[in-house]
Amino acid sequence: MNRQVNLLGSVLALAGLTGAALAQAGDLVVIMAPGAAALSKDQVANVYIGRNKDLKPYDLPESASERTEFYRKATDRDLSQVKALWTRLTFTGEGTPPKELADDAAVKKAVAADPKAIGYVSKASVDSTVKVVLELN
Amino acid sequence: MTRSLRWTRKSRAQFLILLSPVLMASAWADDSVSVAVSGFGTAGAAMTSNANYAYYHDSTEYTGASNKIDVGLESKLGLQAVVTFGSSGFSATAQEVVRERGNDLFSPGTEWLYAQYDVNHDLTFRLGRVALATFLLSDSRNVGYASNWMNAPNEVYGDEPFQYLDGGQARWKISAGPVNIKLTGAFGSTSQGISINGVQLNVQAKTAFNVAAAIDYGNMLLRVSETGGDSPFSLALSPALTVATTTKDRFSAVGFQYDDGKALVLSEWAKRTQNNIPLVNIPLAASTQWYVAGGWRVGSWTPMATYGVAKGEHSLSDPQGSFGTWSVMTRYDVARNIDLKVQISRPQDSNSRYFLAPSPTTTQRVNVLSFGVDFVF
Repeated sequence: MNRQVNLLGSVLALAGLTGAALAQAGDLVVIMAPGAAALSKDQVANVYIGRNKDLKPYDLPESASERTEFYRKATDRDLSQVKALWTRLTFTGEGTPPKELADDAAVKKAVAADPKAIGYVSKASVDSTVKVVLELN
Repeated sequence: MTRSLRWTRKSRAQFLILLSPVLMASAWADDSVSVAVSGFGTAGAAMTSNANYAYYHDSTEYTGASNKIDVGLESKLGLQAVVTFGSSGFSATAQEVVRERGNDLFSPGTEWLYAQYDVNHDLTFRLGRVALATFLLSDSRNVGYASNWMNAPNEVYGDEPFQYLDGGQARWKISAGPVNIKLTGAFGSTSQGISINGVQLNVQAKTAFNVAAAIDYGNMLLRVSETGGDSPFSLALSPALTVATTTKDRFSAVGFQYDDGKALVLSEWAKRTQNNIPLVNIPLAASTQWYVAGGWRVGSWTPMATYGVAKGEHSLSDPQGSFGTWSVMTRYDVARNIDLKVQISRPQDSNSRYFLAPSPTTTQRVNVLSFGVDFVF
């Protein structure tokens, strides 16, 4: 009996952990400086795949799982597809890929300082220095 | 045919050109100057199933790949340097690419070399050498990693011998809600060594132009363009007879692209017109060509199929009429910045867009295999 309870407890704990991990990966937000208007998913995608150059996008490092998650949700593309798009733009003089910053804190700082800047961070990192312009669930 | 790997005075000059933006930057004593150096390349190979037919991409390649593995045709290495002068709006770009040119297996050449001034976000002027964007993807044809096929369809892309313009280019972008319109106009001169039926000559267009309008909406892109060049040339047929003329070539092209991350559709149509060439008194190169390509992304794989047709308007230039060619290919994204590709095409041996010396009488299918690794750095 005891053993069964333990087993059930372990399963529930495992399910809980998995759920927490999924929730964390899912809670990404796109941020700009306070005062910015909300953006649609397509508008954000256009900035991050180089169709719209009015905003200055920032990326998290390639190794960050948030980056993979962000492109999957915002642009419906893998990192390698996005890389191929930027490769074409780079070598035809059309633009340079988003600048990479180390972590959420660096992205928040860059975004807070420039009304044209845009970035994505975990929802938990958001504070009053930036405004959420799109939630990616 | 001899092929050589050379490091000549020309090669050194090309590398100095690549360095020129960097040198300019060091001369500009200001902290706001930034230099970005990046590169791309393809290590590839090609072969055909028949020793009599050598596969090539266009008339700028004097040798092709027959039934022995050839590494020159599909391999390239490109380096690019971009210098940005702070927020002044001025920048300079140089791009050198080592690839097969004429008889040389690995020959460096300047693809782009221009000074740019951004008047504002939407209006840009360039002065110098820019790629000649006759077709939808002409300006990135050397950059394997940027595309899903090993080779852009020969039917369309193999018909334009010129590759760059030395002159000026204006670029204007108009955004209207979700729609972006991009207008470009370039004017200048160009020259190119080509080989037609084994005759090698240098063609020069003293005046050449390219105007294009591209409109994108979401995952769709439509582009229409007009490209032309007037090339005077004289050909000594005998000591007593020299034919001097100016060929006036025009390409009218329409390109469409749809890419939603999963499905991929590409299609282009191009019509080439030309004035009457002396002696034969017909527009020899006049032709119509098109292709349709479709692909579907599955994980790291992007399999695609294309069907292309090129049709010469006169029997003298297209004695066997036109036939379609199927190609199948796949891209596999193997790692960050690296992909693997393989492509198989089945043109008829009479197809001059695929073979250096096409058959004048038969119409047998020949298999053409290309594969390679693309990388960016």
